[in-house]
Amino acid sequence: MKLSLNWLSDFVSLPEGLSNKQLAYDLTMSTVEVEDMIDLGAAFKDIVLAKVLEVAQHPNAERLKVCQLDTGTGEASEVVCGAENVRAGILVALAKPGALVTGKGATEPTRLKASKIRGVTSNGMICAADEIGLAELFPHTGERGILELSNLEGVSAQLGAGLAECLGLADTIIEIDNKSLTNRPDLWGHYGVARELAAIYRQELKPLPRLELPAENSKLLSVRIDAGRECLRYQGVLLDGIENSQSPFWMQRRLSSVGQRPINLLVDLTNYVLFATGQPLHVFDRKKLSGSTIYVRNAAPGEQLALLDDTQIELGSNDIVIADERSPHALAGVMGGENSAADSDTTTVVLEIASFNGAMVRGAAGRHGKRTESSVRFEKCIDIARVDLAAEYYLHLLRQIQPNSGLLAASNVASEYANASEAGSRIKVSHDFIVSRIGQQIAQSDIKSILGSLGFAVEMTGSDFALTVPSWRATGDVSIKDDIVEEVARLYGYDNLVFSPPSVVLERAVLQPRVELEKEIKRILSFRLGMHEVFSYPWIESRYNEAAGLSQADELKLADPPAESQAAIQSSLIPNMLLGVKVNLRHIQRFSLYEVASVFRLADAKDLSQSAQKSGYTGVEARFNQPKMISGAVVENSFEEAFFGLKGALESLFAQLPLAGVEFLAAAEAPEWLAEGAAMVVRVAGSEIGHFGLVNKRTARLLGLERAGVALFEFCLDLLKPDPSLARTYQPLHQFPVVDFDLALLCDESCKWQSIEKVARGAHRYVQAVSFLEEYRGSQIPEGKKSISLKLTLLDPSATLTSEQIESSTKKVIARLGAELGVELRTQ
Amino acid sequence: MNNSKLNDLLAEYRTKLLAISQLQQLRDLEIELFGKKGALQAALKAIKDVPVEERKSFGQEANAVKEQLTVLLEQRRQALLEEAERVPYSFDITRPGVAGSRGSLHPITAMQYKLDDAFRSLGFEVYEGPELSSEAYDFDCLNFVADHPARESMDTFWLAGTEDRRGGERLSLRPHLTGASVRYMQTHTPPFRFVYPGRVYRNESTDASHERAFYQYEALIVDRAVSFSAGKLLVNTILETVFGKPIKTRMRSGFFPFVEPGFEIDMECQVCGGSGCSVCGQSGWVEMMPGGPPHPNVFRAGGIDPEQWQGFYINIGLDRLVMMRHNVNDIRLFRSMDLRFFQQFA
Repeated sequence: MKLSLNWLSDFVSLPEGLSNKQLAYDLTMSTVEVEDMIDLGAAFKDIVLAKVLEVAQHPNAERLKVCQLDTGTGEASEVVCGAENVRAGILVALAKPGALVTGKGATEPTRLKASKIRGVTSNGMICAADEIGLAELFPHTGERGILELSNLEGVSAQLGAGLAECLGLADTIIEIDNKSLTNRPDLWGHYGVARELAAIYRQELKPLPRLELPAENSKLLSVRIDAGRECLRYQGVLLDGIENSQSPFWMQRRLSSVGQRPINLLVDLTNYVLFATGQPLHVFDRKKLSGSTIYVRNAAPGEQLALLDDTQIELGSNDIVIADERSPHALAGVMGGENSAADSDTTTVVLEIASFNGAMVRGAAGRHGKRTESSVRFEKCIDIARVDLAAEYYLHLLRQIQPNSGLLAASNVASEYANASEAGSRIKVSHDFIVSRIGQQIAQSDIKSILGSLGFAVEMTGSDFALTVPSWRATGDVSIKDDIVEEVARLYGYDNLVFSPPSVVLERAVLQPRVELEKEIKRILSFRLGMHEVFSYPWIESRYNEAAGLSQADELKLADPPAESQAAIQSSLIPNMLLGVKVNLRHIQRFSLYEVASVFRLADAKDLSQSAQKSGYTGVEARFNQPKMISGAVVENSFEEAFFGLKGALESLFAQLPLAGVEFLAAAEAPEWLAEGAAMVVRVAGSEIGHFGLVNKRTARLLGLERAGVALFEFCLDLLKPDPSLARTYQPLHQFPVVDFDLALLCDESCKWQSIEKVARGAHRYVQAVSFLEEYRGSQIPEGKKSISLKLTLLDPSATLTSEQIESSTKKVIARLGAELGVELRTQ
Repeated sequence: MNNSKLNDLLAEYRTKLLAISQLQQLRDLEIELFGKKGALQAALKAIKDVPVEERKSFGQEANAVKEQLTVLLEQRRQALLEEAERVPYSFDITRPGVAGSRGSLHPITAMQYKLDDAFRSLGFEVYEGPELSSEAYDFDCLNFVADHPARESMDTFWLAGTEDRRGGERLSLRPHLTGASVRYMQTHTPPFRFVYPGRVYRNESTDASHERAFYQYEALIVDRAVSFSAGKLLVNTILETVFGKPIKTRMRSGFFPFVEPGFEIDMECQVCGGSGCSVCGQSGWVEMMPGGPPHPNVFRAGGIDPEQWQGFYINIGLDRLVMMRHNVNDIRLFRSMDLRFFQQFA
């Protein structure tokens, strides 16, 4: 929203010497965010008022003239001009070298230079309105015409004076961030902001001038409200004797400076009062209305209304319209109709100042796609008291501008609901409460003066304040004593509050094993195992969901998803993990990544009792289970590298976590996304927490991942129960040397390492460990067999092993492997 | 020295020693000289030809020569050793080292953990609320008026089938974290202080500075007396943790339904140091986060008596902080899963 500093100064005197920067800072700190301060005068630097003394034909150009101008210096200034309307005696705007002008056809102003035009030096340029940004204020100068200032009211004829000063264009525009105003219906006009400035700078707020409303005369004008709570009050005023010409220049200037194009007196007046008070108004041409009654009613379904912006809308029964006895003439609170618009012939009007329900107006503006200066203000819930303020201010201005205008009749109707809403709310608050919340001693008298300056009626009993909230705040943001604390604090100045740290209570240390476990898992995966953590979205591409074999008829969906194909929200992290694999395979061959996030599932009965225990799940929410999962992928050049790379990473991970009883088992029933024969289930303390393995071949084919070795995992973090008391037990260091002995074995394809390890481990008491070295198939190995190399670690805790002992121990291992698993020593 | 043979021997081997350049040659020479069949032994054998009365002096001379040769040999050995050790290794030490594993935390997680550590050092607990939440928690409990536009607008991801219901029956991917604070309040007894980081979702069009999913970090402190200015502690903790140095902040008036009064909290622009630049719109300040004491209605929704307890909230968007911290110019990278981005944080 744009505010004119000149306009604000009509209502409040600002302190001497207050800089724009300070004003912006103070307003931002106490009230609303100032986004920008624009100096309107700056655009008119080096543009001065001049009088044309003489006009002569240019010696070298038929269409150009050489003019002598008086710029108050006593010496004539020679300027070349091509305009048809330039002639001796008129007052003009002269842009001197250095001034900013927008040339014909240009969009941005450039700096003017002294130049020779066809051999004649021109000391500047006589400007057309659009060349110096005044097209809106002076729309009637022709295509080749310069701006004539001779017969303009309010132009002080001091030649050589700056144009901005002459025309009253020197002003500062304060740009306010509308977001910071949403809860302050009182600030959507200059008067409300002036009230804030008066409070901030402890200045007087000047009263709005007013002219009393005429008496009621129901023969001339009557109003009927039949719209329930949607219209609380409707003030109609019948006015005549109006000449709807241009509005005065000062008014045009003001409107133009805040971004509103001047149109004609009647429209400009309504806009002027709107920007001054924040109360929207409307005028209907009386001649174009049927009958003398104004109806505020619900529209009939299908009723048509031609609006002022040249569009036609079809109304619905929840639209409120302003109508005569025949047809609607305005969409209440949003926009007037074309058929009753004031034009240059208009002399008699019905002025409307009404109080419409904010939600109703927001709904209508939204349904019909018409957000207007009026609707944005009504949406914020304007107080009913403002109806009279705005009406009387309008009448005052009208009478000032057109003393012959007549006030014929008023018709003031309040709905039956108006009284309840009109009652000024009262708040009781103690001095102690205010002071303790703010954390600073502020004297009662200061508080009283702050609240008084904001329009609160303050009564004191001892140290208790009894406050009446001003109407313009009661519909917005002030209803409880905490609101009063804010009023005092923001005007006392947040900058003036002394920092006081909260007092410390040492009760207990913060111990959160689950939080720690998740952090530990991420740190191990990232920093020890070289994986990258990624984030994805909770919604999934249906293609990935289907490829993972996870799509279901009853999956949870978003009502309004980011894309049609992304309606489902994830019941597993795997689809998005597959997407992550796909994304990265474009650039990298080998990588590993993981994500920790929630998944969303309809809860079964068992989950229900679990989730009910979690904090805050009630009602329908409890029907959903949203466990936190961890999922990841290891991508390698071969399937085997991927599988064992992931398995090794997980073994290393679980070895470092405070969890007991971790087992990796071949999965009898694996999830759809895992490949048969390459899927394992992970159990912790007897409970299944998830799976890992190679990606299912069908999944890989559907997503074009066949050529990479992709291993995936997904576990439920919520099922992990960390036991921080778990600790490793120290084993005494060996006194005697351990001996490593490598064996190359030949065994059946079906023989599993797990069995070999178990048998070898138990074959002799010297065997401390059995380590896998290599699995090999090749030309020297018979069909159906494989070679396995392993390392035996041998130790006698009480003596150094002799070579005989080593040999006999090794032989026993080989013999047991042979007897139990048919494994033999490889000879080749 | 009378015995010319011994003298010759000394002179000969002194020359030979100086001539050699390899340790192996030195070892060969040592054997040639001192070995059982070496030159010195051969020279000593001449003792039998020496008259008896001269044998003593011959013996002494022979020992002196042996001594000298030993010293010379040892000196030469040291010289050759030192020379050999001076030969540099020939490999290219500018080659990279053997790679260790270099993974990464998501930069937002890394930032979250830093903040968690800072807040835990102040006695805050880390809490987490559910991402699938309801209008009841995210609007009703937070003092949003019944017809607040945010409830109607398209920017919340409502769950299909619940979008036309109300309150606890209307479910969504949560649009903010604040509802989680009510869940915490309902299940804990004050005083308490906690942070609750997490993902939130809004349905809007995306571009380099707008996302549908983002990460917020919120903190709430509730105690008998928490003055407005105490809220600065939370703010300053966050900013100092993120930027690694104290940051100047200011609190000004702002409006959010769930706080009363509401604050906008700004920090001094780190680009211009507060003097005004294009990044901060010449104001010297950058808007960082909203905050304020919980509205009495929010306290009541959480089952806490607003007459007895005071509090302070702050909420900050981590995506934007991390973007500022690492100069990231496209917010969508955070959820791109593109490792070319994440490897830069490894």
